[in-house]
Amino acid sequence: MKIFISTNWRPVYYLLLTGCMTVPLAATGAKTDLQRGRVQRVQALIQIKGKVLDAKGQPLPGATVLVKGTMRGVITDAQGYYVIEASEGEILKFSYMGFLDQEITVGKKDGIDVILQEDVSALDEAVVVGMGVQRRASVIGAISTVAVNDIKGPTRSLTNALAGRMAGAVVVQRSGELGNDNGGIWIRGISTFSANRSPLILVDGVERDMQDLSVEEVESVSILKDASATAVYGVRAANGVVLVSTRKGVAQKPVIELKMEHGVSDLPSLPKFLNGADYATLYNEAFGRENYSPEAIGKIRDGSDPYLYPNVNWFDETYKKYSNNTQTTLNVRGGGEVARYFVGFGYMNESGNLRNNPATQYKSNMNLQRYNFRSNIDVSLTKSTILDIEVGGSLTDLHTPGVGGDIYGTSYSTAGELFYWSFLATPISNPVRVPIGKDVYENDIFGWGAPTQVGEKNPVERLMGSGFDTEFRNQFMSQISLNQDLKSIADGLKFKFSFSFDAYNLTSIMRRKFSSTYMVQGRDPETGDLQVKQNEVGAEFLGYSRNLSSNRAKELKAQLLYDKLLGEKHRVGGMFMYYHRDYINGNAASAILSLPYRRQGIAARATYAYDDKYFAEFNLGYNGSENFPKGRRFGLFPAVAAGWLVSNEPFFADLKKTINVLKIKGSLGLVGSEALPNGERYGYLSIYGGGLGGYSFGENAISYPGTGENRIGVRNLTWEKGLKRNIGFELLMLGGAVSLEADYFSETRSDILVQRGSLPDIAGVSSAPFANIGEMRNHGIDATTELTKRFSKGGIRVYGNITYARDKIISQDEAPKNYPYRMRTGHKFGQNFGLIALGYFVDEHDIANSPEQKFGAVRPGDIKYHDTNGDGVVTIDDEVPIGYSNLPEINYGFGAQVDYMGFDIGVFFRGQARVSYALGGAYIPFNQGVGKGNLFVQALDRWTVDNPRQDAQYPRLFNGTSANNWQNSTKKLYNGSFLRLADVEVGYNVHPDLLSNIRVKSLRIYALANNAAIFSKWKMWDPETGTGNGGNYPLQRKMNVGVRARF
Amino acid sequence: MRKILFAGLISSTLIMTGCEFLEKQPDDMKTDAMIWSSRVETEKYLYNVYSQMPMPLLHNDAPWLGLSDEVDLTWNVYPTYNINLGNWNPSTGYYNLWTPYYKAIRASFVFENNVDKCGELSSDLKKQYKAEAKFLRGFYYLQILKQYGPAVLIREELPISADWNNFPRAPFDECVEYIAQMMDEAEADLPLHWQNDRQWLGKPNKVVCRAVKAEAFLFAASPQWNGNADYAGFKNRDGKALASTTYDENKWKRSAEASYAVIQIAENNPAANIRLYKNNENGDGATFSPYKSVRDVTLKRWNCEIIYGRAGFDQNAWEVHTSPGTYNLGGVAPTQRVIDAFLMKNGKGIYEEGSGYVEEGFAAQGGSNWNPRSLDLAADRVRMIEDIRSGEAWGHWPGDWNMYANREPRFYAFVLYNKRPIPQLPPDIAKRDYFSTGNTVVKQQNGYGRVELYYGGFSRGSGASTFYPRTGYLVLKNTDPQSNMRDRVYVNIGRHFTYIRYANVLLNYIEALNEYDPGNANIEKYWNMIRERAGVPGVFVSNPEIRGNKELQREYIIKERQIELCFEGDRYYTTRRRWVAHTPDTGTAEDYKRKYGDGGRFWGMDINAGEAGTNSFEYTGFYKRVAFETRVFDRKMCLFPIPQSEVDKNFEMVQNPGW
Repeated sequence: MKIFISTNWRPVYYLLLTGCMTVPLAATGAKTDLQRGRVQRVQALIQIKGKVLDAKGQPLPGATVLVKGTMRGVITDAQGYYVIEASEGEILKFSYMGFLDQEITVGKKDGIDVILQEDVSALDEAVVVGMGVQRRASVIGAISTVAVNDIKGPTRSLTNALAGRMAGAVVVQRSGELGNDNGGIWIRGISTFSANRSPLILVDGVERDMQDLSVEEVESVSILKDASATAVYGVRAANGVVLVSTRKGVAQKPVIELKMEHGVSDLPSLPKFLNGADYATLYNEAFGRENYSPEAIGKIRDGSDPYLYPNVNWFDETYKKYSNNTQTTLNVRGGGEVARYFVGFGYMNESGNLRNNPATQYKSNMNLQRYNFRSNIDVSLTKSTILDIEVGGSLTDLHTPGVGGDIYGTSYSTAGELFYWSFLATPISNPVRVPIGKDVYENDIFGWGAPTQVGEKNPVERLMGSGFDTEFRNQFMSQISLNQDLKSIADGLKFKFSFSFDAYNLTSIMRRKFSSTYMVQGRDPETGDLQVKQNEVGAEFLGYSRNLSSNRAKELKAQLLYDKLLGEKHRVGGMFMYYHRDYINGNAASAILSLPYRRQGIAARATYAYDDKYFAEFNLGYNGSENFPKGRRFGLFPAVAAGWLVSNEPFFADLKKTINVLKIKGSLGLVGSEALPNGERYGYLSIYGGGLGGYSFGENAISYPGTGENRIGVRNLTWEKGLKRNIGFELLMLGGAVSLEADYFSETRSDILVQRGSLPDIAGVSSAPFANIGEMRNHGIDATTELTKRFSKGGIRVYGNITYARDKIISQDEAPKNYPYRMRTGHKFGQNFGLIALGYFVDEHDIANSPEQKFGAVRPGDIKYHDTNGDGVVTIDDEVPIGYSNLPEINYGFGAQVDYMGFDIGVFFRGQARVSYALGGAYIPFNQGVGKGNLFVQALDRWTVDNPRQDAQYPRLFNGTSANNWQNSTKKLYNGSFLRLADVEVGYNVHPDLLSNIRVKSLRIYALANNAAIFSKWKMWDPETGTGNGGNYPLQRKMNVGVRARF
Repeated sequence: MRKILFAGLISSTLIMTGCEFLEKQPDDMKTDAMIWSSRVETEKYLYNVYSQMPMPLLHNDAPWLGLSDEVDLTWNVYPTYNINLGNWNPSTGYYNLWTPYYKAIRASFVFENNVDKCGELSSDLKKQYKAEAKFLRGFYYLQILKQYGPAVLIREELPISADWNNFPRAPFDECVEYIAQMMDEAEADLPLHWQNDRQWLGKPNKVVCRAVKAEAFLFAASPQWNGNADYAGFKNRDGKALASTTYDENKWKRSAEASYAVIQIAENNPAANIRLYKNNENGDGATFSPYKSVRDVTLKRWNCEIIYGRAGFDQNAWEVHTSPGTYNLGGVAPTQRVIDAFLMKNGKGIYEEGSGYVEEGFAAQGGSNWNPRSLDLAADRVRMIEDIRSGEAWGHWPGDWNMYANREPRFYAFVLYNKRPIPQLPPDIAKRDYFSTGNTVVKQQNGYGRVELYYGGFSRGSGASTFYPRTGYLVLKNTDPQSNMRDRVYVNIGRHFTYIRYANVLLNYIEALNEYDPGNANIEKYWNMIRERAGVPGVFVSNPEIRGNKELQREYIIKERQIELCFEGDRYYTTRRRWVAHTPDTGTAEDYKRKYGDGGRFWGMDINAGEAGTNSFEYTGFYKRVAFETRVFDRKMCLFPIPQSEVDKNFEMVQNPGW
């Protein structure tokens, strides 16, 4: 054993451990190098041993190891081992065909293991497709993928993070309420008027909810849009498929990623209520006489007696301006030959913008905390067998005030109920709190103010005096997969078997109460004392009740995969798969819904590529649905696709420098949809239940339940069929600086599963029977483009995508209407219909000279409608299609990123257009009559006798809902188009040189704003919520700072 | 291992082809065969046929009060508000009872066609149950007929695949014949009464079948359907007339005889226990009290006057809506027309000579029963209130407005007028004072809880409250005085809801009899029965001048109906079938004297007069007749429009005239 000329003891240690007995000490003298200003001494050659692996931990035999600048080199053996001599400071270069070269400077260690990364050209990159992966070159289905880095914002729901990010995905977030803010997602708009319009969502190949995945544990998100991509899913695929893959382990030294982010949030688009004095003025106007004297209005305005003349802005009293949010994630990823792992932990904490009650221990504000955990491990059992074990889960804790539930038959969320009470109250109904006595120190004791009338509640009492609810949601997902390389049977053949088990449960604990309320009666004219009487006697203690719900799913898959290049030019691939699924809803509303939901099917794919120029693919799904009778249960769903990689043709060679890739592709196929309306099942069975109801008899009114047909079964039901066509191209130019992808699609959906619409009620059936009736067409384009340019010290990236989808009902079970133009058939699904508002009636003369409006007596200032059919009267027969439907026809997103010297800034906009929403409810001033219901500040913008403006937002005020003015019309519809500045992010990546001393590989500091601004013609609330009255919790704006580090 | 896996893949594929994986029939579900083999299930199917029997809980679900000329429902979120303003059409879909009745009719056929399969039922019960199904079908058709006019007459169970888009309506008289046929067939297999088996009260019996048939005949005889020239164009697409345009007096005769048949059963079968309700004959005191009798006929469960009703009426909603605000919803408001229709205690109408009616001023003295025990109002407050609630003390108090003085008992039993102590509150001072203004200007908190319906009064309010009667009156009928409407504690839960009581039959009878035999002695006999129970002199005592005069007698019979059956849903149909609902506004200041007309101005007290801060019971400006609403009524509105969607879906079915 020799001693090194070194102060460092560690190499000795290593030598001892590796058991190397002889190390040549002879200096070559060939290598004298200056590195980082240190003088490299002439070193003796040492023997270096190691192993070369690929990223999956598989050894690479035959890889070259070369000492850079010399002729010394070796080749790895069959197990990937090498032994080479080099001296400290020399550089080893590892190379292997199809992999990126890697260089490593020899240090004091004599054991160097290397993991080579595959050299994936743009065409060879692996793309996630239905039930497998494919080389990018051979993908000829319509698939969009989002760059996961682009969606790493502070958004709870992964669905919402996708909004505007992918061509073909229509994402609409209707509410910002914590825990209930998951948006709706549709692929390429909608193609059916049946109940099921949502895509199939698969996480790691299993049907799962994706909203509570942490974006930091996600590797990729893709959507499958055309039949070629989705046919393998058969009867579930008609509405498209969303594929989410979680991050897997890679063979590398452990890399630790840490993200911490914290910031404030507010609600920029909360509607604004009118103040009490103006409210009283408008009350008088709508009432037609002076109910509030100018003196009373003055007192309301000046606030001199807030108990007798209250003036309360209920939103100000229930909402605070700022709240906060925190996100932290910690991931470790690494592995080697035996096992590879990804382990992640995530934590997020969001608070709502509701006020807290200072008098209670518990908070009345909403709060959500979510813990994510994931451990994806793959273990190489043998050289050809890999076992994947994926376990992921999340725990969501939601704390809300003790409201939310059923009010007069309508179900409200927590925030929804608070909106309900705020909308029902008026600014002058009652003070928030009233003094009800004195304590021993002569300070006022306050009680909640009681509303003036039955049915109303003090919104602040409901927020702060209602107790609280806590909810736990546990989501657990697991999957175990066995991957077997069947090289021994046939080269290129693989087998995969997976079993997954998922469980979900939700526990909701309600600690609720009602608090006492007090009514102000007046003031004693002599003493001036407030006279108060108790109105409702509240509970002293919080009550207790709870709700549970749960579900679980088991899924089994067995898959054979084949991929082989035959000769030089023929690449053939195949996939054959069997799966079944068993899902149980543990909280089903009926016995029939509690039965396991089962699905079963096989899928197959055959691909062929000639010389990477011509591609063909055949996909097949054959699967069944329990909803249809035996014999009609299984369906065959084939799809074909073809592609031409023009840029690989010899004649294209000259152009190839400019246009690097040009691919033209097309597909045609049939997919299905099995879901029955209203989530019903077994459509072929008649279901007997309570029937129309029961009855009571006798002096003691004993009630007897009934029995009857709840549903009449239909024997000849079958699945809905969607014939999808797609044609598109992919273009990559200027060395990848410009990319463009565009597709035209069209789909014809037929045999749509509906409840019969033309059966008159005299048939007397308890519910309209199911049928396969109707046809609908949907077509449009989606496109993605990206421009990137790198400079020496920075770069720029501009990107965008657009989706345009327009559907049309070709036929449906619609009874003929008296005027053909009133038929909904022939229009977009959900197309708004209504009258055309011409303006407001100017005077009695105008009314007399206009066609008679048959909805009730009209006066000047009421809405004047167009007599479409010219019959001299305005009735429902004059309705025409107005506006659009409530699902946007155009969805787009675009953004830009610039970086320079480590600094970067990025913005992202998204928008929707060609969408309309109907107005109603609280939007209509005094819709329940004067004295009930709040008004928005916009109510001031109305037609009055003194100021008869035609451009006023509202017609003449009316006591109640004026039947004439609130017919469905262009006046009761708003344009939901908007452009949102969705994300702004400014960051700085600390230079690696500065980090080397603190053992940090990379460090990023950033500030971002999420939902920063919105631009829309509609100003009263966020149009994306799509409400008719602004009664959805607005989308939060978050302004955060964060740090992201890799160790 | 590989081979095992491979074999597994292949075999799992094979399993699927012969698969049972999806074949998991919900075998524990009820099936057709299970229902008709089990007695319990078969009976439950019958209750399902019963389930659509009308139950107008608070007349939000049914329009018969809010659209009639006797009531205003104050809530403008109720469809009645818009309908009264003329804001409705076939597409508005208000009060669509068409749909549920046809569902029940279909169920009645299914039941009849299958009940024989049930081996667990005796043949007697099968017969009885079939009779019940027939009765229900006839009853449902009658409801359709009344609300919508000629029905689409479905006489059998039809398959789903039937040509539903080509079912024309059947002429009115044909529908009536079918109903009569159902009633006759049902009657044959039903018992005379359920008095010995009171657990089945609410099932039809022979008397009910006859009474329903009589009601159907009454409609057929009435001017709306008997020779109505306005319906000359009311025809199916093929020209078949749906209403008769030639008057046939025999229809009245048929109707009278049908009603008389019910009366004869009542009179000849004491076991059937059918007679007008009187307190002293029903265990409530030894002396006859007209006030208690008329009040309790709707409150006392299944009393002797109830010919047909349904069990399990949930009156809570009704009591909340009729009891004064603001703690309650207080807004079922009698119109001035019905207030003025109530007789004086001498049996005369208020505007008739010698009635003793005084419009203005406060009464110096109370009525004869206002304080029967001569209690000290201050010292014996609790006993006084208990007397009011029990019905011992009734009638106007000294200091009440003269308009409400010396009226007949039915007035006090059915109407809560301004300043009257609220019966449905306990004698607890705080609870009663809750409904009284107590500031130093208007010190009305004296422990009596007198209802304040004037502007600024507690149950009227002046500001944001909307829960007050727009006419200045509240309905008291059918509200139990023993309820506690401060704490919402209800008594007498689950009582019956009346469809037909003996008074209906008597009134139907004398109305029909008068049309062809106005001199018949039975008119006086049965009319006086009602008057006697109501505690007013016989009609020919108070108004001898009308005797034998068909037109005048008709007026007075309809008015008797208006009073006796007020707030029970009868008035809506009476004004329509008598074809007087479209009587227009007179245009004069005295239009409030108009007896009929569902359109035009509607009158009440001036609930907006005076100053909120200083108004009190002393304030007389309240007692001024003002129009609170101008209703829009057109004769097409005598029938509901058939829902537009139904007309669209069934080409052969014509819409009602004018819609």
